[in-house]
Amino acid sequence: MARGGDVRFWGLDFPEPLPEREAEISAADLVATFSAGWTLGEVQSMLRSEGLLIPHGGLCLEHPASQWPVRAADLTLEQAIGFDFPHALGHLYGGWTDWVLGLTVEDANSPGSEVKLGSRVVKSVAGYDGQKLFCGALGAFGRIVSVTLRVYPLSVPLHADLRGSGGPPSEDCVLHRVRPADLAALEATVGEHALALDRLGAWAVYPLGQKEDPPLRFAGDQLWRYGQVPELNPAARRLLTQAKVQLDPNDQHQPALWRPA
Amino acid sequence: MPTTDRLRDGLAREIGAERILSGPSVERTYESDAYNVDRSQPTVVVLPESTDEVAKVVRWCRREGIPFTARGAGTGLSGGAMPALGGVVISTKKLNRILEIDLPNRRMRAQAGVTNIALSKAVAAHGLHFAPDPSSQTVATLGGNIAENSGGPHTLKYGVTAPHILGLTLIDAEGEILELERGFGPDWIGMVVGSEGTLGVVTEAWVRLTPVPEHVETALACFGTVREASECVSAIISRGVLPAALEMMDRNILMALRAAFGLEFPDATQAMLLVECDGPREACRQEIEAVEQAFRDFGAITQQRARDAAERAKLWTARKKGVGAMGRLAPSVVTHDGVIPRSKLPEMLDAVYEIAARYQIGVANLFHAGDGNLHPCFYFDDRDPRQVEAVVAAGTEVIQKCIELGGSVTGEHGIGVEKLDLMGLMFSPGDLAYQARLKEIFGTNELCNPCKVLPNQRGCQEHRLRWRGVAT
Ligand SMILES: Cc1cc2nc3c(=O)[nH]c(=O)nc-3n(C[C@H](O)[C@H](O)[C@H](O)COP(=O)(O)OP(=O)(O)OC[C@H]3O[C@@H](n4cnc5c(N)ncnc54)[C@H](O)[C@@H]3O)c2cc1C
Repeated sequence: MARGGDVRFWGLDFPEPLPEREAEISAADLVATFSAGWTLGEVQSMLRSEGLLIPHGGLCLEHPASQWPVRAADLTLEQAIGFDFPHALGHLYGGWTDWVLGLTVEDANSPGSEVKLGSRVVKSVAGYDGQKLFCGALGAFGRIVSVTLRVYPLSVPLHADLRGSGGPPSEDCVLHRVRPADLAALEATVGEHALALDRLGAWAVYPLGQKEDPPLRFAGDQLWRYGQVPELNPAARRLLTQAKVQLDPNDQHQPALWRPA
Repeated sequence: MPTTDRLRDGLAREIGAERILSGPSVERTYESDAYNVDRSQPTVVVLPESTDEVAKVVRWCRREGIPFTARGAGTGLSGGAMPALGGVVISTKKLNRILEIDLPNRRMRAQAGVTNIALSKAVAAHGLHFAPDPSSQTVATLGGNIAENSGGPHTLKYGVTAPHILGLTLIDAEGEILELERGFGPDWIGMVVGSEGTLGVVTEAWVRLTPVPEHVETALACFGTVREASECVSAIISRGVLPAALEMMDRNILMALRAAFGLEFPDATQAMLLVECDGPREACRQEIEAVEQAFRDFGAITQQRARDAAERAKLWTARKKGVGAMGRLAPSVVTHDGVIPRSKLPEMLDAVYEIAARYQIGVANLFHAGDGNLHPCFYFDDRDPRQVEAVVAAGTEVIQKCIELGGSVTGEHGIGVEKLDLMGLMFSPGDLAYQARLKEIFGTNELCNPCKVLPNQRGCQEHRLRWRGVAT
């Protein structure tokens, strides 16, 4: 089974990666390029041997909550990017959209032809940053063929301060990067349920109650919900519809996703 | 293009006559940004004060088929704010209010015309700042920073503008008001930031406020060869240190600074490195010691560390005043902008000097070495057409070399109109066609800041000679 650690969310399948897997790491440039198919665990161990890492909280932290809802190590790189897989160190190092410097993707308009987006250097403002649209797109715009990432020295401080339970027991949980000011209120609301949070990063993971629905009262800058694909705001939905027309006009990738009811 | 009167009357009905400027002096003021090789005059300039007013202007332009171009302070270095096909310049001069400061959540909402420095000043008393720090920060606007995804000396650690934008209001090319925020789904904000005003007009943004670092250490070293200094840059990073800033200046810049401001440095100096580390006191101290060890290992002739804020400011003098001092070298200076993987710095700098020597023009380098973001400054006499030709050809060769080494045609100045022809060095026709489709997502039409970023756009080629002032 080539699909990474066989992780599946929301019933979404990602395309099978090509059998050939390649990796090119430059410690002096803090840049690494990987073909699709490597899991995050594999990538981190290759980087580690060069004194580098992706500062993804899901892997850097031992707390069980950081492994929720799946072990991040089992995601393929393209899944992690497609899900914009959240983590507890965003306040220090950002997330996938900041780390993905460039992508090679298959043009869904003309299958088989590859397109290069972004660059292979840590700083570039040439052209439109289409690589950023693939972060969080759940694979809806097409297949990722290879990824160039900004990586960090192994020595960078990893300050997440997770506390709380050993991870939420319920299936339908949310993972939330809340506004710092809302942390205390969030704790008060869901405190009796399992809750793990990182005060510094204002990052929390907690189960949805059966009757109450706390998370949307704490609209934060990132929301991940295990039970269902999160809703998009009206502007994002409008752009997504147009993006599908432009990038995947035959709706071959994640066709049922975010479709208006 | 309809007459000035028709534009004035139509727009006056939308936002009031007092917000519309026209006439010869207005045309001259707004015909270019800080890249003044190409020029094109607007018919009118509008000064809206709110998101709604910008939306009204854009919808009116759309209905009437009039091109429109957003403009902040006009400090752009690639012609982005030049109204390439004339029409309406939408100035953000009066969109200059800070709307909300949310200290507990470390964020602030401001209109697009607020200057970069004003954002930081507004929260300085609370130990916070807006981290992107382009050298033009005293005048450059938030909207301009967003459009160009601007960086600065501290980009190495804190990143360019994109990660510091939490939400924004965009009037797209159809005149729709889009509220974009960071949330689940594709990173629309990341796509708008750096799009050079071609996807619409940003009227407001939520920016991230970053704590002013607890502790700062600044060190400077002089090297006897450029190669030692540039190899030292890679070594610092490879040793696991991520400084806040890592800047380099070569001998020609230093000589100009000596002439202009009496800067002192050993005579044998060929290059100078300025490194700043920040963060918790102990970690910061360890980092700067590792940097100083690298200075020694790579044969620094002298090195010094700032003991207080006054000394730090002194060490930064060479970097901050370098551009000003360049004026001493020759009547004209053209600053290029290219990026290479930083490990290729020694090879790249050798190439820059070789190219300049071959074309018999002067070159000085002061740049963001840690990011591999080169700024070779060619100095010459623009009254001599042969020198002008040589500078253009040498600049193209430098950028070609950046691409050959795996880099980018621009690290912070953008494509604008200046680098349209160079996009083909970095992207294939297929890549560029895909980028044109990315642009279409925003309903973008040929009216919204036309002829920028993508080469070979319809209706633009024939205007290029006119921009250079050589059309008949
Ligand atoms: C001396 C000097 C030093 C500089 N140093 C740096 C540096 O260190 N780092 C760096 O990155 N750049 C630097 N620059 C370049 C420039 O200052 C930046 O690109 C800056 O962000 C431009 O801001 P502005 O307000 O002047 O924008 P303008 O020049 O007015 O416009 C730039 C682009 O932004 C678009 N735009 C402006 N406002 C909006 C808006 N509200 N909505 C949509 N589009 C908009 C314009 O259409 C244009 O395409 C420097 C320039 C100078 C002259």
